[in-house]
Amino acid sequence: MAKNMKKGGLTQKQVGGIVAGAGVFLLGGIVWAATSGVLTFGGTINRSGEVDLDIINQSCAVGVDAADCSVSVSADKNNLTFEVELEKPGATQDITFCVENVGTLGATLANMSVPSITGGTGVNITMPTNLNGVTLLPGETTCTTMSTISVEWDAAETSDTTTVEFTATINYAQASN
Amino acid sequence: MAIRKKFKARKLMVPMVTASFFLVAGAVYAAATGAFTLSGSVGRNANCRLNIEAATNVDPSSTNIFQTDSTITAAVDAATRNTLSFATDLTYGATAKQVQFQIQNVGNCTQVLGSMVVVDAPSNGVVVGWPSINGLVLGPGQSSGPLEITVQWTTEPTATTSEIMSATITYSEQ
Repeated sequence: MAKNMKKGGLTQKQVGGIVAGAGVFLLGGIVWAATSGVLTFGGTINRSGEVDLDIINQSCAVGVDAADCSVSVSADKNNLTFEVELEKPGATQDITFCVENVGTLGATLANMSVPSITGGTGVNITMPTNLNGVTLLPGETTCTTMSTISVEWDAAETSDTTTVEFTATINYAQASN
Repeated sequence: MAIRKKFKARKLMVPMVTASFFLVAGAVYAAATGAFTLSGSVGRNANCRLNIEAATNVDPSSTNIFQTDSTITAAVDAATRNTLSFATDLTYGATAKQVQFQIQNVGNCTQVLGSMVVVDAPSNGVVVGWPSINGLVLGPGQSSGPLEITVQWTTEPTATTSEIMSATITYSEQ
């Protein structure tokens, strides 16, 4: 008989023990829940910032048969204006500059477009290729490797002299993660 | 005889297990939600509780929280005063912003605070400083003194997503 009871399931004594134990645990949990509480702290943060790159350290660099070179930047420092007198065909003039992130968000540079030239025919402009895809974090610059715009007057031209003027613009957008 | 005894045991077990299940569910719910009322004859002592108060203003009717930076908006729920919510804009690299508050024992039971458990942690370069008050004991009428939560955007200046953060402190009667 006893064997059948054990085989069939728990004994009454065992059931009683389990229920008593559960009851103690439950009572403890109820008492704890009744005398405890929760404080909650939550916040929402919205990021804000400015994407802003500046052309800096612009200068007329190496020139051959070139005179009166001048270079300046616009008020927002995104445009570089250049003027030079090329004294004869074959003359060349380089302009160097670098870029600084003066904003509060990362920014990625793209290639600079070839600008329209005022004055002179047969003048070729080569834009820098070391800026495309470069990402600058706030405070960083590209000044460890200066960028160069090269101006060259075709040697086959027959004019005596020409004055060249153009404006170049840096292109950039907020960097992505 | 054996069959009758077996049958009696099974009859006893089913209602007991059922009753136990509902008692467990009730206690877990009460503990998890911080609810202070329970069904049945056991009820929470309504005078055993802590409030979140302004650091310099302990007027229980006030919902404003003292702020050290005017660009943070913060408030405590008026009904239970157990939830502090705040919102702010962050600029990369700027100094940390703070929300100051204090925890006051407005009941007649001595309470001990547990650890701050972070539920939602921000990512993408935002650092949150939570107060460390694990084990703090507050007798009736006592307050924690000024506590603060700080937030700062320190790395990853390319991210622009909004972030949420939350944490809880469980306290219990000593």
